[in-house]
Amino acid sequence: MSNSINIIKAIFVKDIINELRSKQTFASMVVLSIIIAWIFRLASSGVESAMAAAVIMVSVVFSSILCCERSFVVEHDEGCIDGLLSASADRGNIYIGKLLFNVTMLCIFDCVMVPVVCVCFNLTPAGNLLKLIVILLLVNIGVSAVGTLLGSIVMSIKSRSSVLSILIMALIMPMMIPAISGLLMVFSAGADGGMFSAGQSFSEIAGMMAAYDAIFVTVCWLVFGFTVD
Amino acid sequence: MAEENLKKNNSAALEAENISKSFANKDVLRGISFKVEAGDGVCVYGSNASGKTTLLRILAGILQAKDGTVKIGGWDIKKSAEKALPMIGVISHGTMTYPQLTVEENLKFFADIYNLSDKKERVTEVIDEMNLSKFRYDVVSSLSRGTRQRLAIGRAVLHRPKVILADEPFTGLDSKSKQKFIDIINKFKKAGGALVLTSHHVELAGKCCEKIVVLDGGKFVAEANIGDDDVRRFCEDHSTSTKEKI
Repeated sequence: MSNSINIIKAIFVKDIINELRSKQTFASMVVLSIIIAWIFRLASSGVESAMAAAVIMVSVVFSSILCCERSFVVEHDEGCIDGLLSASADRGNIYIGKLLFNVTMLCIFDCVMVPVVCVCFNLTPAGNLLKLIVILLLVNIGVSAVGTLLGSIVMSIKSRSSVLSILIMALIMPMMIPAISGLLMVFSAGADGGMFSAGQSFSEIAGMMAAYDAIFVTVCWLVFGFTVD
Repeated sequence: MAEENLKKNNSAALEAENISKSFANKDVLRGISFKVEAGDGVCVYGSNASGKTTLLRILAGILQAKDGTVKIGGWDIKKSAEKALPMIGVISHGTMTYPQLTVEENLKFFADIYNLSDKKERVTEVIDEMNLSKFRYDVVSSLSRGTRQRLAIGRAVLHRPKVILADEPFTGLDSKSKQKFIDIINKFKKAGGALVLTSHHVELAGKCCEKIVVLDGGKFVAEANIGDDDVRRFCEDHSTSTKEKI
């Protein structure tokens, strides 16, 4: 057990150091989200909570694609993934280490992106800040769980970005619906969860997302060994 | 513990039996079997696409064979991966090191992955052994190809493996770096390590291997001792694509 924790920690710290030195992934994620927010802002007319919820989801999804792709390109470039595979019998540890890194990157990204979106759309989610954090954390875990697995599958494909985008979008769709409903509730001060919420409460929505995360983290962790082998 | 010692004492350092592998219904390896004893070196010679890299990746536990077994120090690489894998050190085309990390950080990272008990001491020892002290705090992307290759060897021997698997290790190295590689490997073998190496450079391979086997069409077609006369001619005679070129 402690050996697994050491391996997971080593992979996580290594990826953080790597990103701090290269600054490639985070910079691309932030620039992309600012462009997305600005384009949506131009198409809107002032305070639009629905638009803000959409912008946040689009930004998180596209940024997660960049993040998950980069985290495995680093392993693929110098054959490092072979070094990891020949060193570690348990592939699941590699998956968890990478997953933690991707979730952390998305959480840091949220800290930059959400204020930008709030400024663009004149929103103040202060009263629902905790709910916003819960929704974003659950989205980050779900998207990263799928993205980390798919990133390992497409790392040696030349057109990996487009393949990864299509695969991630298809798999996270069941989580997008409650996530959007939750964000709408946060930004419209609990008034309405949108067309798909069907009168659900915030805790029910969060529960659905947590269930999705649990299923996908477990399945992806189990399948990861087969995909990299 | 007793079983562990028995396996270590009585078994070959590496034993491959009836290894087969196919990609998209094309057989790449067909029934490969061989043994390498501790202190010995075997060079796998073959033309491009003969299956050398695939064979090494299977021996290293990176790829799964369709059929057959690989045992390292008596431990099956599939069934007892947690025992077999730490006995293997891999040197590949790529250096398997992270360009944005320093030499020390790379070695520390792999020391963590192998869960070494004496991480700090071992990392310093390897840095000294590989003459990397000058570059200890340099990021890998700033190093020359030869220095990176020394780091790659350092990473491969960091956890004190029993077997080194080296895939075309001389590629891109100048003559001084090649000699350095040969010296390090011979020192490793003298200490009881076994080597499996793939290379087109028969003369260079001869300086660190005792035996050469020719891989052609997915199977071993011939083998010779390095001391035999005209080994290069022998390899060329048994390799289809070399014959075609002639």
